Amino acid sequence: MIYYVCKYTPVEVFAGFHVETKPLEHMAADFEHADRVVHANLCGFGKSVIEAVLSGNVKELVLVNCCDSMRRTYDHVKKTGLTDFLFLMDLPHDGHSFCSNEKLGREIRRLISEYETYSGKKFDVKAFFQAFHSGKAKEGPYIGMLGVRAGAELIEMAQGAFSLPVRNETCVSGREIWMDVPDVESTDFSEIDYARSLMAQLPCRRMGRPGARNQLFMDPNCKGVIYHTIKFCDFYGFEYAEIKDKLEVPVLKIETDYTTQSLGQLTTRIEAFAETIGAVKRNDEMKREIKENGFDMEHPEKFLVAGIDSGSTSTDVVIMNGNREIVSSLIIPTGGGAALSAEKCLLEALEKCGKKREEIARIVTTGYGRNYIADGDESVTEITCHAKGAHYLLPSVRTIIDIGGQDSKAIRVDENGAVKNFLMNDKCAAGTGRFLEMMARTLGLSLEEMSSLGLDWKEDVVISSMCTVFAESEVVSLVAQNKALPDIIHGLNNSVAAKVGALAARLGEEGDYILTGGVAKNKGIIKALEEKMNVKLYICEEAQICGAIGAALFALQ
Amino acid sequence: MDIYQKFGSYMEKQIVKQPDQARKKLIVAYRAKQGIDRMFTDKRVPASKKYLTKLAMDTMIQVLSKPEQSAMTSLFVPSEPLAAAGITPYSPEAMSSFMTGSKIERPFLQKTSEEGMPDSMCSYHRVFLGAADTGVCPEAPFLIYTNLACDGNMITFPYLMDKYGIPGFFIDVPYEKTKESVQFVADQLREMNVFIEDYSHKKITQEALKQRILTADETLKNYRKYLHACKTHYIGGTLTHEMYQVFITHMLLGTNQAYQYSRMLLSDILKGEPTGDRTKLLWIHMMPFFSEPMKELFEFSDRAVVQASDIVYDACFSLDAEKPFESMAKRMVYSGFNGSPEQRIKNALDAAEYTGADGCVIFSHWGCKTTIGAAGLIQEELGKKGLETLILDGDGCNPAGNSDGQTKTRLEAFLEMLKEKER
Ligand code: SF4
Ligand code: SF4
Ligand code: SF4
Repeated sequence: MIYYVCKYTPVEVFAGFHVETKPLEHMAADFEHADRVVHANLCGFGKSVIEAVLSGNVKELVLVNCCDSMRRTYDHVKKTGLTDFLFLMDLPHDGHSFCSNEKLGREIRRLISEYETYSGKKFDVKAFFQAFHSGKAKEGPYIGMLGVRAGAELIEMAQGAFSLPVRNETCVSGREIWMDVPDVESTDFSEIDYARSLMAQLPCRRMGRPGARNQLFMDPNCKGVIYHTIKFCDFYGFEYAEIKDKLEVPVLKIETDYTTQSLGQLTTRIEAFAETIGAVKRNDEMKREIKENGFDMEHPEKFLVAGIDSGSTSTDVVIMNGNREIVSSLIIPTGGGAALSAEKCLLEALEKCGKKREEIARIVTTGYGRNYIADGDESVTEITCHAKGAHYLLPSVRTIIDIGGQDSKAIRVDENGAVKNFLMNDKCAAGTGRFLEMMARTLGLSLEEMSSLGLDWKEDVVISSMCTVFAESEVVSLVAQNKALPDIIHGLNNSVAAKVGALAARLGEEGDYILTGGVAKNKGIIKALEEKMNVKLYICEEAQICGAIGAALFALQ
Repeated sequence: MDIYQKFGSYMEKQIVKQPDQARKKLIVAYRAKQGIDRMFTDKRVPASKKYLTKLAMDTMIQVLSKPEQSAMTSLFVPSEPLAAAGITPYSPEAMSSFMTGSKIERPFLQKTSEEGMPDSMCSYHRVFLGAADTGVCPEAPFLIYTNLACDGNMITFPYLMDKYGIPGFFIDVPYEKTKESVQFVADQLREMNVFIEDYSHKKITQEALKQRILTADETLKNYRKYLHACKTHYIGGTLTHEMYQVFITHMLLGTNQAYQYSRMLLSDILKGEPTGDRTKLLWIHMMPFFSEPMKELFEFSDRAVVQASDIVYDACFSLDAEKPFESMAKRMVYSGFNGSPEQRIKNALDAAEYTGADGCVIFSHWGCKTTIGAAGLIQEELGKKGLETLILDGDGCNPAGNSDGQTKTRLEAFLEMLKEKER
């Protein structure tokens, strides 16, 4: 079995040898073996190739000289000595010049000759010609998976969330080769024609001037785009920056490290995106009937629902009546599992307003633990709930900035509180509550002290590192230099504000702004953020339970 | 806060508000810096390196003040035809190093983050893109780029072509080091020559190009002699000087000034003191020239000296003025930065032998996949040949990507190890 990784691979050649080919497109579970041999900053796909070779499952492999990472991947694979046949095909950067095609043609000939030597087989031109057939034209609305290669597991997961078909248009999947087959009796083929056909495909971003890629983003049948990037893959990370403002269709950017592990955290975002564009796949179980008999038109205040936001650090409950009034609310730390905390929080919130569990007609859960709570009638992602909740608190809101314990987000909503776009940072601690907590610990302060101490700063201290580990050592050395605490904290606040502000800036400016999440209590951060963004942030008591409010509102619908 | 830092934070604000003003202020500041250098000469700096600083500063001032006579290029684009046309090339590596040297890289990096450009990209390219996007880096009339040595070029240059709406020329360098590859590149270089003529509105006569190739060849000959002399002789200098060498042997190669510098350098080293007990290092890849612990260890130091970087050594290729295009093409195809790391390993071993290096440091520059990906392989191969090698992680253009403490500890431990081995 010959494995290949790129749509420019001349796979038809192998039909001429009567051997099977297959794209190498499974994401690795982790990089346990690869991490031992390569630098951590090689792209995840490169590592997944090395991992696959080290596992011993891939013996025959054709790579292309796609990018820096792929070249180095080839070097490492070669060094393992674990493959029987390994070929690196050089690939020109554009298919327009005769010389480029001639050059690729020479590579095709080299591949044939090396495979002949390796396998002892003869190349069968007839079988080679038979391998060409035109693909079926695809029709109808779809969700486009664009960007860098998406592993089979990612496609499957995305498909699970959408009612529309998800079309993979990344590296290997869009492969379509058509070549004029000369008369059947031909004993040879033109490698330059073949090279030209390969290069005539819709260019990937790695190609010289990939202007033709616009058609990917402009197809009227494309109802939404999931744009996938892999950490340390610059070509596609950059393409996203180039296209994001030009796209007419809704787009969701996701980043993985090409492990199945990294998929887990994406479920929320992909589901939220499906909700946003109205293409959610709902199975019967999810479509629970609304308990209509519970609603008394005469006395809406007696009709009660609950929203539960099960976050990583805290669990929040809001109980609301049919008049959209908050009857009771509570925040407790999440401990002992999402389900247990949710149950506990709900009961205590009920107790607070003197109501009983049976009086609650409907419960909607949100937050990362939302799917673990058996009590819920439905679950909605925290993105959608935050938008709903923020709209409830401030109807003129257009941008929500949420700084949570583990992540931070910027959400753009329309005049009805529906999500128009959102960005999330959950990859690194910088710009999250966790960052502040770690720095507070380094400084030996409580979070409350951190909140106000930074306000009376004198010297403008700059914490330049975004990475928590580096920032921590910067803080340590500032302390050693006897810098005043308020100055250091002010520097830290600015660093968080820079990270979060950049997230919001990428959404584009549009007010009013609201700040939600646990960090909304931190005065220093509020001030730094307002200065950085040059806007006024709306802050209110309920900002912390924004997600739960949204969930309760969904329960009312 | 020292004066540079003050200048940096003042400029940061300017950049955001008035990029054109910021550029003018930079020019003024660079001119002032030259004045200061003339007045307060550091006695430890040899004449050649003073000239080097002036040359680098002049080039930067020229690019910033007369962008219409310049071109944006990748570092590895042959500079001789540009020199023949009187065009000053500037690469991301050069422009960004200057920005970082002036302590104003932060707003540029910030700008790229705001635009959503990946933080994992090489900071030479990010600072350059940020400088272009904020409007501080001026627009050149055309650009020339190549896939050598990295993908960064393939991202930055097409983006700038679109942004400015300026013409660009791309040189595709094949992976394999073969005659066909050289021919393939030579043909492109011929086209490039015409492209430069068209967009600079200057004629490049055969004679002029030949002259530039001859000058380049002489410059590189002097360089080789200089590197060899480093085995036994020492002259002091700063890390910034070391970085400038990269620009002399690439973007400025073929100019009379670069030649003049190479002559002075050779004459200085031949007059230099014996290397003595200093530990001699070969440096692989770019260098964080602003790093305090590195300055402490290597600048005018009795303890250790960085003699050469593999980027400079790689450039020392002999050229045949009768076959200008083939010569330049060959230099690209056979560069250690093209294709597999084998050539780079071979170059490093040659360079170490040639300069009598005691050890080697691979600077694993964040974002440079081509170097990072090969670092382990290079280290292993050099180790097999008895050349002790340290991999140092950091960032050559973004001070925030370096941890001074770690750099210091690792380098010192490495130097101690090398000394121990000597005993
Ligand atoms: S980016 Fe392009 S060249 Fe690279 S593997 Fe994907 S399709 Fe192939
Ligand atoms: S194109 Fe991106 S994902 Fe693919 S090998 Fe290169 S760096 Fe990795
Ligand atoms: S450091 Fe590496 S990635 Fe950056 S410009 Fe140089 S070769 Fe390219």
